[in-house]
Amino acid sequence: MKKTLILFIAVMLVVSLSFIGFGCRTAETPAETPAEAPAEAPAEDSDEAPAEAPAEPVDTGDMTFSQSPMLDGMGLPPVEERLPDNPKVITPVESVGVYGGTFVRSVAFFPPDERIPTTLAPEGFFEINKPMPADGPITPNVAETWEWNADGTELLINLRKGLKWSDGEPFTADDVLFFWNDVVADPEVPIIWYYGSMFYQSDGTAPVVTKIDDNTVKFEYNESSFLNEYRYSMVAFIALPLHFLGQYHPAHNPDADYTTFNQKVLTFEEAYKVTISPWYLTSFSADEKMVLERNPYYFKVDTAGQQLPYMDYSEWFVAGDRPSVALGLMTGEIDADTMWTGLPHYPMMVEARDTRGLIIGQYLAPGMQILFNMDAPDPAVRAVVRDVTVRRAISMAIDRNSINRALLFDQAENTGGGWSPDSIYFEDSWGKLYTEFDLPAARAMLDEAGIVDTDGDKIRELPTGEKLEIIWDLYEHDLYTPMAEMIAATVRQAGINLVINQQHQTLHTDNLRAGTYQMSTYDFYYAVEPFLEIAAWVPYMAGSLTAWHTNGDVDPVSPEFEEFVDLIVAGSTAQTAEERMVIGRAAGQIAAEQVWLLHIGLQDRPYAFQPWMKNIPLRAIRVQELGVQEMPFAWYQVWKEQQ
Amino acid sequence: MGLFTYMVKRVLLSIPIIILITILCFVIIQLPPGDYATAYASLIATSGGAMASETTLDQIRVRYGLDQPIYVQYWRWVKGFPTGDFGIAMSIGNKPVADLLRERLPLTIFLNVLALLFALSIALPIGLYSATHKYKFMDYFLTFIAFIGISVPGFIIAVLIIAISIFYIDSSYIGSLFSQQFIGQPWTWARFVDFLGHLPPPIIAIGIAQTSNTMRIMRANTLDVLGMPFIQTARAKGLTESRVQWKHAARISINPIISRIGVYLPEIIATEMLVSIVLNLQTIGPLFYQALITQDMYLAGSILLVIAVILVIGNLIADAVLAWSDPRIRLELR
Repeated sequence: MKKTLILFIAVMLVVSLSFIGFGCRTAETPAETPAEAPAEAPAEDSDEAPAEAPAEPVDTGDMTFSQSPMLDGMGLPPVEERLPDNPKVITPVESVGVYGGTFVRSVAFFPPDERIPTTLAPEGFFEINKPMPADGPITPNVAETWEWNADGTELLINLRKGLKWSDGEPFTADDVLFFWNDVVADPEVPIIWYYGSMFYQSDGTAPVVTKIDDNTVKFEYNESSFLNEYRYSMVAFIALPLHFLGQYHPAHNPDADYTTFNQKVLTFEEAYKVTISPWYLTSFSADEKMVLERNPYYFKVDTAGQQLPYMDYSEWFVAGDRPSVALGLMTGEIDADTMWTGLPHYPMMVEARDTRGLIIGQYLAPGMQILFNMDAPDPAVRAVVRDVTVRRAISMAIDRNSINRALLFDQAENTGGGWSPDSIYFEDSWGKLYTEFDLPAARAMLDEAGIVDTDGDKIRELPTGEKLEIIWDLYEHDLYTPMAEMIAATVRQAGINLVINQQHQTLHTDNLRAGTYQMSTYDFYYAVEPFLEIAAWVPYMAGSLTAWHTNGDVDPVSPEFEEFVDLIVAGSTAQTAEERMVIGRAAGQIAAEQVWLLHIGLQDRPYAFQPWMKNIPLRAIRVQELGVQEMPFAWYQVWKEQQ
Repeated sequence: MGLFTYMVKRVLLSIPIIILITILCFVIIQLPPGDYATAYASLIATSGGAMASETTLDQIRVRYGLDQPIYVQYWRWVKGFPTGDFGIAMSIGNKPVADLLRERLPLTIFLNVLALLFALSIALPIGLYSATHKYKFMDYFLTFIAFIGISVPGFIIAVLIIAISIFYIDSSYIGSLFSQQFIGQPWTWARFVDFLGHLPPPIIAIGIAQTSNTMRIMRANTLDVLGMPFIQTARAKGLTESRVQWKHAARISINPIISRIGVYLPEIIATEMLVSIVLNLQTIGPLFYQALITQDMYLAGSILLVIAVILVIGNLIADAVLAWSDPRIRLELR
């Protein structure tokens, strides 16, 4: 059995690799690959990210389908008729599951955006195998096949034939057009999307989407967009049900008005009541709970032909705050949490692991990022932060290990100014440059550059006279506030004065966005797949939140910055993964050497689930730029052992 | 001036006070920088989401009327009051504020009243006992316990209750007023029984500080009263000691406590809010907290207003009860 399994994995790996890399190619769905169900896969294998377990393709020709007993007697058409012509076959992480149960979760609060419940199971045109390797592979999902033109400005998508909405209505190209043209592109529908960057182009416009036929749509972009294969894999919505929501939209109903539509289109209102996701919304009370029920028309089956998901219901309760979510985990009130709990709750999780068998997994999550404003309004400060020696010295004067020990339970990984260690572009040779705490070296570096204390106040001055004193904007944060105090204390010993300025969060974001700061703080995002969010790295582009070098196009901080920008832009439009790899590594090395953005470290953040939850891996990767707020688990293949 | 006229006067006087309170509440909520749109966008951006464009933010402002001058926004808010419309809670799925208050206010008031009754029913007899057993062991012991109760804030007691529940008695109680299966469900007998089972922890956490305070006041008052001539007269008449204490001393000792109910209310409501946040109770406390974080002005303003009105009414009731309980006050009113 084990040899068969290894052979199966090897075959699947070869098949999956064929999907890597873009360009003018079509992702066909070979029908010949046999469906081997590794139902008896040993549990310990699940600790490793099974990149070699692609979900597709599997022949469903002679597969017998079955459904959850919950659906028996509900007067539904037979399961074969509810599934699309070619259902997507999912190989479970660990074992083929058993139907039943309610997936119980809790939230600190329901964010008023589309994150919950869409992150429970984002159904994009494509799908990235989960748990996620940063480089794919991309597999068919709602799209059965797709094709790019040569320069990546046109994407032709053939939708999965026979796909149906949760109310049994057919899913067609009109539903795709309704979402992209009448919601995303309609200025009368103002929505603060959490995943806004997934929908819009870098200039803020929506792509042009046209219908070729009932089953085919064409996306047209004003820039090369090969990377949209990733975006459309993890996106919250790629379509909305025209037959259901169209009645509220003025473009489809002359009696409708935008005021009503703008309310109805919200995720918790009507938008998730008819869905292609594994569960659809049945009731929601923003201050109490949300209930979801299985979608009887869901288009995925497991290797034994069982229609997914395994769990019939999902209930989400408002816990009020993060510690309450952690308490729910400890007492077994909730089945799992991968969103609200983290390192501050780690000791509680460990206690529950030892006493109640709670299972803890981990993934690298964003830590603190320090931004130097290369265009700071004060010319003296600008001169200070533009000096690479100063930036390197600050980085080396930070005692990351002590911070890790004191605040992060030794669960953090030091990280340099470039990419995350989870990124495929990360290299050991430069990945952690200037992260070693070495005060004598930092002092020596500054001395050599002639940056010394000339007036005896223990704060150094640049040779041109500017004092090494920077105001550091923070917002109140349970970890960053004490972290900043530790950082300022050791950096001061190197002769650099960081003056902490804690602000209201809104004011902090406003200043960050406007570039009206000297040094500021943000989460360490966009460093796993930087080409997906290049505005974070080319801060003079439209859509950049952190504005750390808004004049970078006219007054670049250094020639290295210009070289870096050229590489980032080239990487974002590269056609092949190989080309992107070379560019990504070169750009990462420059960023690490130049320390424009200073990273304290990535946190090996814990998530936890109860021992009765099956098919949840113990290690995963979080790719923020793919909108992965929640861990990219395929919850539809997680099952609950009945107690 | 009769009691009725006195009360009517007090009610009429409270109307301008409440109007002033609505203005103050609205201004206070608007004080932090930005508005709901920027607070919301900031919340999303700092948790790794996309930053909304200025155009989108402007359209959101238009939708909720945040682009209007503050007096227009204020009028938009208050003009619905006569019809029971308090605006919408932007941060709670655009749910009408009135619906949220309707769901949560009765539980909030019930919890506060229960906590007050808990405090009084424990504190009065203990205070009296302590006074009549001055400088005995039990007096010292109860005084010691009372000082602990006064010193430890209610929310810390709530945290301790949860910790003891989980770590020492292996219970799964982590707060809430209902078990999971009854959250968001209509009232049934089973839900009511479940609700009763969840009441003791919040009642203890909210009421304990007031219990301790009241006990100390009752003890001091009783000690004063016990030395008065009318008590000596009562004893001289040959009344039993328990009748002297309960019928004569306690009735007078309790007056300052009744007059303090107006003072207790804000303390109890503040404690209830903090305890509710810790225990995640389905009262207005957690809603208020979230409304302040997200700068949801209609929700936060309405809750502030409701609290203010409760306080005004509480003071009115305290005055009425005092007039009823103390004949001297009734005489003064005449």
